[in-house]
Amino acid sequence: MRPALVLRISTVALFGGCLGKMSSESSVTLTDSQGGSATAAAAAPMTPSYNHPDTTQDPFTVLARVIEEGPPELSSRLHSCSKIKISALKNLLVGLGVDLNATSPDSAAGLISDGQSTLGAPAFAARVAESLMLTTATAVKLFDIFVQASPEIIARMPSAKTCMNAGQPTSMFDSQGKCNPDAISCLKGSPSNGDDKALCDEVLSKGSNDLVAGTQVTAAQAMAVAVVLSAAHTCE
Amino acid sequence: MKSLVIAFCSLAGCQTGFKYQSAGSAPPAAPAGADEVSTAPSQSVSTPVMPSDADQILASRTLDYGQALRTAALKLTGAPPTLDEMSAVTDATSYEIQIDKYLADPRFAVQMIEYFENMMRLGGERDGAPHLPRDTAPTFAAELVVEERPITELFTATSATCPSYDAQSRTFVPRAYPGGPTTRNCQCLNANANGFQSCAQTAGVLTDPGAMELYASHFAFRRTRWIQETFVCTKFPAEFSSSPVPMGSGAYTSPWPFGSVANGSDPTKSHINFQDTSALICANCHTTINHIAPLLAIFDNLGTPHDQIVAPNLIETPALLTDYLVDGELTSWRLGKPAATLVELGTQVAADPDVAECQVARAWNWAMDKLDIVNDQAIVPPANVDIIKQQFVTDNYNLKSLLRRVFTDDDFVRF
Repeated sequence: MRPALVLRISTVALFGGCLGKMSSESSVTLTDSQGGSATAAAAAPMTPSYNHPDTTQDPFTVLARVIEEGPPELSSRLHSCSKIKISALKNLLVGLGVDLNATSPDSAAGLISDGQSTLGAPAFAARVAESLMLTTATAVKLFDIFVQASPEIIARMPSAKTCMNAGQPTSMFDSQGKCNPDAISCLKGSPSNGDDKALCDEVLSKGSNDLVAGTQVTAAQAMAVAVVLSAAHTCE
Repeated sequence: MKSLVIAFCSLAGCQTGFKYQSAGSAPPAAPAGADEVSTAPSQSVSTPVMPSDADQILASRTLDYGQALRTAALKLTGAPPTLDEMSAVTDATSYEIQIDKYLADPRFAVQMIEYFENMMRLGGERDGAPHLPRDTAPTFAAELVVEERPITELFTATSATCPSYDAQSRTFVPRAYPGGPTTRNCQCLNANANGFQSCAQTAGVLTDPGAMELYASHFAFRRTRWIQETFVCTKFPAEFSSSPVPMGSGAYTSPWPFGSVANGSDPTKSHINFQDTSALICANCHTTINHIAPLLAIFDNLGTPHDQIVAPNLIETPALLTDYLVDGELTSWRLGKPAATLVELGTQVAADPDVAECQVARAWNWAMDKLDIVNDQAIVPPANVDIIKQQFVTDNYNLKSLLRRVFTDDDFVRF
């Protein structure tokens, strides 16, 4: 088959949905640019095959969401939970003193850099926006990032401007080694309540006191910070 | 019944046609009068059927300015609030003061660029040479918001539509093109050096080179769909007749004359039969699409405008107007909304109330952490935002004011 003929057949297939002459009962005579011809049986059954990219969601997924959230008249008035934007995640960590210029693949910066697709980064070249969906993989990746960032956050919080309280520095833990409510507020970005302090203290009490390699932070302290961050920033 | 309605609309792609209906509710009866025309019914939810405990659910929310401040700060500045900001917010007044500070914060411009990048699905630059920017349209939109200019200029601005954002000075500046000029008038650039230097047809982002390049396709149909879904918030079909005509295996629902689109009968003039009814009713969507696409087909694959149609048809030659429409048919935004040029198209788009409603719905969804209004069917019923939409229009389409209203709305500060 000559190239031009191949092109025209593929063209027909591509736009079959808008070619009234194409049907399972018909055949089409195709002529190439050199005057040769061939009778090609129309693909049977001829489906509406014009390539309209379908981004429509599975209706049952939509139905499940409506059943869970209620109709739009109700659900649109309630806050939902979308993934924190990658840019906001970076700003959050930088504000807490994390070095996002670190090059180690095990650092928080490295995890963010290597985890762009897991974090739902936009792919504008493919005309895709940043994902707002918090998947299990995304949540796990966020937690990994927070765990790796925790020692830096604990060490640098006293000098972090975002955690200054009327000009006074804030430390993650008080003199008794318990979680500081102001520090929890700074991690969360919203006022601390009794529940999050209790959770933070519980992680401290149950975690390992072994030091995280290369730091003066215990595994329990790092985990407590990561748990608070993860709980707070699961949703934007 | 619910599943049938959702399944039908989803399969048909009529995102806006989705309406929550309880079992036993009947579809709305078509009004009499063959000449009546409506646009996409999406946002025209009539009488919502609310679950019996809806009022209880809404009433159970509590005022939480701390949480509201956190999510507002993340969106408006890209970072959580500081401890001092949290301490300063104790009531509605102090909360609103802090929202105003966020809206005046230089970081707000960066957030707006990101907001519009995700809305328009445009950003970065072209991978191969020439490395043309694809973030000009989102940056221009952000500039309109920050400077509190009417967001309708997205479609009507006739110059300076391609700014850049300078992170150092935190201002919008002319864009410096590598090896080229520094200008805000990117429509005057010529990526192909093909001799076309006219800047006559600038219509906001409708003539944005980055958008036209990324959304290039045969017949410019992808560009047409981009405009529809991004700025009208609904998929095609976009227009509906109140008197559908049984046809083929379905019904012809467009208000346009069925014979207005090309039918492929003369292969020297048209290559596709848009009047085909053997499978889908192509004309349901293509009567609208084909009246718009020829205007966008003057851009080549690099987004450079020409003085005639250059978008290819399926045999890779430049499409003809008769590939889209029958002889004598003129380009239009909608039935009765003629648009002979891109500038006229921009004027029609800017005046379309569905476009204003779309801006409100997208802003609302952004604030409330909803998914995409088109792809994810995160619908915002008009009744829920009717007041702020009216204020948006009264404010001369000031999106910054709209955002202030959304972020201080009673629904936003309750959790």
